[in-house]
Amino acid sequence: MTNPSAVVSVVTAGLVAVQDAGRYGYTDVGVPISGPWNRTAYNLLTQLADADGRPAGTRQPGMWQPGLPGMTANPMVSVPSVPVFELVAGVFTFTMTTNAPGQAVPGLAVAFTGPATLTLSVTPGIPDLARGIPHQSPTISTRALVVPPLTLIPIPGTEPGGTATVSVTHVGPGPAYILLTGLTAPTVLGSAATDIHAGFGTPVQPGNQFVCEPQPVTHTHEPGIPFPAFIHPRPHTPTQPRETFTFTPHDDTLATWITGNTWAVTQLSRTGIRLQRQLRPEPDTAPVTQPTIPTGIPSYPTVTGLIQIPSPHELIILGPDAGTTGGYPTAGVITTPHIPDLSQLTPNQLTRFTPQPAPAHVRDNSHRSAPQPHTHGTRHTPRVYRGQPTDAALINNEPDQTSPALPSLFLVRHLRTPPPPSQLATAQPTERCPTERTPGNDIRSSSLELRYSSQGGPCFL
Amino acid sequence: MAGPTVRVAVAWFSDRAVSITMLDGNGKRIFVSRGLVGVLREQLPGARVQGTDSTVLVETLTPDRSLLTVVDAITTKYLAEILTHPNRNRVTVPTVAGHAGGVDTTPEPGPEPAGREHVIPVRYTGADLHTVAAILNCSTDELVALHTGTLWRVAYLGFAPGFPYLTPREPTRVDSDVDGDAAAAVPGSVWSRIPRLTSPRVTVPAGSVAVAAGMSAIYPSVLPGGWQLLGTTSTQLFDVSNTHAPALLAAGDTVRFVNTP
Repeated sequence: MTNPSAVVSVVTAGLVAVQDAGRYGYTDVGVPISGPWNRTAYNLLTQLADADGRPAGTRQPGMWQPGLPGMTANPMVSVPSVPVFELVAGVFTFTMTTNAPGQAVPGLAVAFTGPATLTLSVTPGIPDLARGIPHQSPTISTRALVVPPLTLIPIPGTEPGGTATVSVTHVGPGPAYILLTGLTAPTVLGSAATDIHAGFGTPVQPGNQFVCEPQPVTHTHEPGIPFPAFIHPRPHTPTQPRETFTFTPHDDTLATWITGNTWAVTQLSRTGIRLQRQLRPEPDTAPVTQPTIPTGIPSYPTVTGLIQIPSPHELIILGPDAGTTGGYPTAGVITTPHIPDLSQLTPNQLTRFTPQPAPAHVRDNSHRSAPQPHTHGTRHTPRVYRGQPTDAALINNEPDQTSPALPSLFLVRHLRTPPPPSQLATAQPTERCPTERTPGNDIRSSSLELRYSSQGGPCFL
Repeated sequence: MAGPTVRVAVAWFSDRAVSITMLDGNGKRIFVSRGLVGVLREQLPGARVQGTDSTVLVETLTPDRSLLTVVDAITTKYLAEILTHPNRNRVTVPTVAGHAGGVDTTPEPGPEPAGREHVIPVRYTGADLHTVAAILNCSTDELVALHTGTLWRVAYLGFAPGFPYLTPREPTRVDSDVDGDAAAAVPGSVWSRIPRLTSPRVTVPAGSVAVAAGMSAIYPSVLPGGWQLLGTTSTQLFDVSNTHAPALLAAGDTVRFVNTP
C-alpha cells in the first residue's frame, strides 16, 4: 500500500521558484549558495512544521554541506533545509489531489509568510474546513478560506473527484514564502534551491507537478491558533523616505563616498541589485569628492551583500545567486541583519548606507564571561555554546549600544545535556567545539530553539 | 639569513567573513598559496573557505568578533606548512627573514604543484578570432598556434559553475621573458593586450573558448560574457551528477589546448 501523498499541480505561476536552505559546499567550483533571499522569513516559516516530519533526503545534516574534498559537515551547525516556494510577483495558484480520494492526507498542511495573501478552497467543500480558525465561519462551503500568515493550516480531504486549491497573491515588496509539508523537489548537488544564474532548480510553471509526502505526525500545531504577525516590509513612510543599510567597510575613502550619496534602485534580481547615484545632493550631507575608483582589482571570492562599484555612478549589491568570484572594486558588505531587507527593495527606492566597522556590532566571543540567560520564552536557561567561530550558537543576545535596532534572528541548536562548563564559557577561541557523540555530549537529545533579539519587537517561539 | 618576507594580511571582509591576502616585503600582493585553503578547511570545519589566486575568504554562519583572531592565529601557526604545501600554486619565496608587523617564517622550497593535466580539443572558429589576431598583429593560424602553444594553469573557478580562469603557465613564443604565473599581471604579456568586449554578449554558446585581459577561459554552459571568443570545445566541464567533484578542472591544474579542425 502506498503512503498517503498529494500531487501539487501548478495552475498559475507568477514569478515563483523552489528554494531550500541553499546549495552549500560548491562555491569553490563556481556554484553560488542560492537559497531564500529573505532567510529570516524562511527560518520563521520552516519552524512551523515539526522537524522530524520530513521525508528522508530533504534535510541536510549541516549548514555547510560536505561536498568537496576538505569540507566537512559541522553537526553543531544545523538549519533545516526544507523546500518551499518563493513568490516575488504575481499570483501563484495550485491544486492538490490525493491518492486516497475522500480522505485527508495526514499531516498535509500549508502555511506562508511575507507580503501576500493566501486562500484555500475545497471543491466540493466540506463543512469543517474553517473550524477553529478565528474570524472564519465554521460552516464554510465553497467559499475560499483566507489563511492568516505564519499559521499551519491542515489541508482537508476532498470528495472523490474534488480538489483543494491554494491561491497566493503577492502584494509586495519582497518575497513571500509558501510551505507545504512534505514537499519534495528534485535536487541538484544536494539542494532543491533554484539558481537563476546557473539554471539549477525545478521550474514552477503551469502544468508542472510536485509531490507532497508528509509524515503522519508532521505537525502537532493546534490548527486555528494564528500568529498575528508576519515579516513586514520595512516601513516606507514620509518620515523615512530612504532605506538605510549598514555595511562593513573595506576602504575608508570609498565608504565615505557611498555614505555621502543617495542611491536609487534601478534593477533587482536574485543575482543582485543595481543602484544609481542620485545627482541632487542631500540636504543633510556635506559634498563628497568623488574618489578615484581603483582599477585592476585582483579577483576575489564574493559573499551575499557585497557592494561592488562598477562605475563612479553605480553600485551593485550581490544577491544569493550572484557569481562566486568578482573583479569590480568593492566598498564593503551589507551587515548580516540587513541582508534580508535587501530582498524587500523595490525599483526607484532611495537608499543610504552607513559604515559599521565589523567588530563593533559583532559579538565578542573571545571573552570569558558567563553565558547571559536570555529573557524570551523558554522554561529552562539556555546554554550559549561558546567555542569556535563556526558554532551556530553565537547570538548577540544583549542589546548592543553600538548597533541600534538591529534585529537578529538565528536558529540555535543546543545540547539538552550541556557540555562540561570548561567547554562553555572558558573555551579558547581556537578550540574546536566537540562534534562527536560522547557519553556527556549526546546530540540525539538536541532541541531547536528560536531566538529573536531586537529592541521592542515581538518574539515568537 | 636574508631573503624576501611574506606577510599574511587578515582583514574583515564582512561582519562574518575575513579575507586573507599575502604580501611581499614591499607590501605588494603576491599569489596566495593553495595550501592556505587546505589548512583553513582542516582547522575550521563548518566554515566556508574559498580562494582565488589573490584572496582567500573564510565565512561563518553568524557574526563572531573572534573570527579574525582565530584565522590570524591559524595562519601564523601553519604559515611554514602553507608555504611548502604540496598543493600550493606558487611559492616565490625561498627564504624569509624577520619583518616587523608581519608573519614570518623560513619555509623550505617545496615540491612542484600537484595538479592534474588536461588536454582540451578546440575548434578554432570563434566569432572574435580575426579581431584578436588583428589586435596581436598576427594571422589567425599564428594566433591558434600561440593559444595551443601556451600552457595554461587553472587559477581558480568562479563566475558560473565550472568556469575556469586560466593564466599562462609557461612563457609563450612572443613574450618568452615573461614569468608564467604572473603573465596576467605583467604589462606586455601578449595575452594581456587583449581587452574584454566593450559591450558583453547576452549569450555565449556553451563550450566557448575565450581570451581577455591576460587570461583564457572556457564557458561550461550558455552564459552572458564579455570575453573574446576563439573557438569551441565539446569537453564537458561540469557534471552535476558527480556531487563529489562536479567540476572537471580544479585550481592548480594544467590545461593544454589542441587544435581539432
